[in-house]
Amino acid sequence: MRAERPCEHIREDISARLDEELDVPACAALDEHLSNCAECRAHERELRAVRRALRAQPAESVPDLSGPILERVAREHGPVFPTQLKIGAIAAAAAALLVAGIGLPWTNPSPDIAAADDIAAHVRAAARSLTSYRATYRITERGWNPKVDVRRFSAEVRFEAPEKFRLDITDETLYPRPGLWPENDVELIANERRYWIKEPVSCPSQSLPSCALPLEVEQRTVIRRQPFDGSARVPTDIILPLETLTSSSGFKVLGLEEVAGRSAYHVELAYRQAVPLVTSLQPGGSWRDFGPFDRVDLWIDRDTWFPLAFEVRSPAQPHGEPLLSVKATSFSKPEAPHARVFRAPVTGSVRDGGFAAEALPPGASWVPELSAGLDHYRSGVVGGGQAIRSYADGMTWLKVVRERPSGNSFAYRRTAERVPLSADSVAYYEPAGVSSKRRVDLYGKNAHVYLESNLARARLLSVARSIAVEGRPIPSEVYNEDGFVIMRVPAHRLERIDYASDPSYLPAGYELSAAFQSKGGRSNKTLTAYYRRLEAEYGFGIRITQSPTVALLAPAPEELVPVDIGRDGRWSRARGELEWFDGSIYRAIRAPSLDLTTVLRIGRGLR
Amino acid sequence: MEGAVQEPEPQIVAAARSGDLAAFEDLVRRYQADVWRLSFHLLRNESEADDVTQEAFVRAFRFLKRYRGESKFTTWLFTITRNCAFDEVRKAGRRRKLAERAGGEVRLISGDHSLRIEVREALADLPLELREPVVLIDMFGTSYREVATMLRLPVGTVKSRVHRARATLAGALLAHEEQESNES
Repeated sequence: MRAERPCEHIREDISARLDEELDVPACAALDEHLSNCAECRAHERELRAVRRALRAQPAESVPDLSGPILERVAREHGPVFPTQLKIGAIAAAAAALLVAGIGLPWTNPSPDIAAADDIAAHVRAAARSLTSYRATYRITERGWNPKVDVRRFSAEVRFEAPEKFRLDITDETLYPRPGLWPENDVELIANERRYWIKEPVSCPSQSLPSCALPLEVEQRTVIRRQPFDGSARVPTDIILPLETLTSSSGFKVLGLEEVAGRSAYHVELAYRQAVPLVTSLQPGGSWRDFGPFDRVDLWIDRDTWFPLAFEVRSPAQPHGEPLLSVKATSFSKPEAPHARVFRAPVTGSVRDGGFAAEALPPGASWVPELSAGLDHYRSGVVGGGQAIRSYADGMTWLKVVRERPSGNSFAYRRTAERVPLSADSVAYYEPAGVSSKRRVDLYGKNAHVYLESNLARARLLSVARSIAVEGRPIPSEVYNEDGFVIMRVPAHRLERIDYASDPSYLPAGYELSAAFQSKGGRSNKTLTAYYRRLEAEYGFGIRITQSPTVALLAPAPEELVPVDIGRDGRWSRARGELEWFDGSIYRAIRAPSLDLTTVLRIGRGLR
Repeated sequence: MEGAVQEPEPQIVAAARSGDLAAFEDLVRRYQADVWRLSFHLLRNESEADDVTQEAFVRAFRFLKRYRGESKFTTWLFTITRNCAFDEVRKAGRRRKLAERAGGEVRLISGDHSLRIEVREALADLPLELREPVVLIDMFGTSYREVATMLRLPVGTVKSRVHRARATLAGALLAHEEQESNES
């Protein structure tokens, strides 16, 4: 021991002071001693170095034991978890953020509301005022692959209105043999100019792990990105479930659940309605599939309208473990996110969106007079002769594109709904789909103008109405070859077709979008009508086919269920199609996202 | 590790106490690394640290109803961890050996500074009565009072043991430096 006896006691004080565990008088006495004792000063330096070295120890590689721990806890204490408390932790975390002043001040708490329409309206309003967002989530997925029971992920989402978005998904799964399975880490960064995504190269999950070897990562970049570019759109429903909740009022509000001092609406809807929300954290990588009838439970915060949690379950096991569970672990509205966060690299395969910013004359005939209260955002041109003007307010956006008239547009918009805008002008409207937004096309004499937006249908149509381009009806003949002709049939002419019946019943929200009559061959006549939801259709919608010239049902390789609706009634689950003969008339209803009971009800309404 | 281990939000602890598995999962994910590190520094064996970490959380869930917030949550959790570590050794009939135990399955993580590795090796050689307080204080930012509660010792003894631990480490490092300069 190098220390001499008189110094030994004071040296404990040196050590304690490093830990701020020494009171003021003792500190003064220590300083006094140190000023006269070179050995103790040297000792102080040594202790400081040791302490610094201990505190700067590199972290050990610590295993993730949460899976086995939770399994053991669940096994020992299984029945004690009240399900209504399941999102307690998230709400608590949210409440903690509020207490800590990270606050979410842009919406006011509203009195109790229960109607789905009210919730949709609030979400719309929140989407207007949202400017920035940051949240972390925990994702648990079951049933992705038979060899992997559960996959766990953490995710972080950052957003700055209207177009900056970043998603980082980290795969925390303990795979049976690490190194053989593709880690489902996904990174997506989007800003006004670029879109970049990095994801594992995967293959059908049933063939994993061998099909994925060698493990590779793919990167894709879009440069000179158009405003709100459709093929590189950012999945914002995780921030506010705007499309999910405003596209249809077909969701159930199960109640206002008080959890850890926060109120959350518990909403139930079918997967086919919740596609934008459920897939929002899955823009890349490999994930399990869901069926249209899978049940989605969503808890949405009553003050901020952020989704706090959602779970997807198979309808066959309504009380089983969720197939997918996403829980927010924190959320905040950062004041000034670092620009660096949204800086997208240019790596991997690069696509050029061709957009060049340019100030366009605001008075042009194709520029709408009204913009639904959205502010002008950015304008420019794309090499192929397109001019684009975009608008935004928070998360809500609108894009108006003018291009040279082209016959091709007609074919693509086959099932668009014809909407008269005025006595002289007609537009064609399409609801949002899985990879498209609501769209209105105006086919003018000298210009084709189209609008894309996440505004509601009515507001989008009123913007279209303020455009000084006269939309002309598209030719009713859509196909004509070798005597086989397909003609578009306007809604008011449908009743003149004697062999076809109008459905007297359709599920809520479905409307006729387009109908076609085909004629040709040997007195072949068929009417095909498409019905879709007005705001969004994430499935196939409903197609009703009727024909007096079809004499036999086509042989089908898949399993067919006989049903009691008329002669030869049969139901193909694989196609989601009901077929039968009503006297001599062939009728068929294809609706893969509706159950058989509903389809039968539509069918009986055709008689 | 820099600074003290953060305490959880009281609401999360309250939810976990009421049996909310999701809230408990939050706690597991947040503290499993700390619990593992503490176990590892006590046992210096990775697979035993794995077992102790699991056992500590299972026990924590079982006893959570009894936790009334008298001490910090992390102090409570680390006390359970410590008890589990001792039980682990007891189970193996090695209780008496723990104090003298050295070496074993220590895996060093390469750092960019040789002093860190030396400190780590020297730390592993410290007797448990000195190693435990210095690990809690320097690696977990625990206060003297909390360490005193956990180890059931007077605060003055904690202060003195931490100093002895640091002085011993400083001496070991000095000896190592001298050895190196002699060799070169």
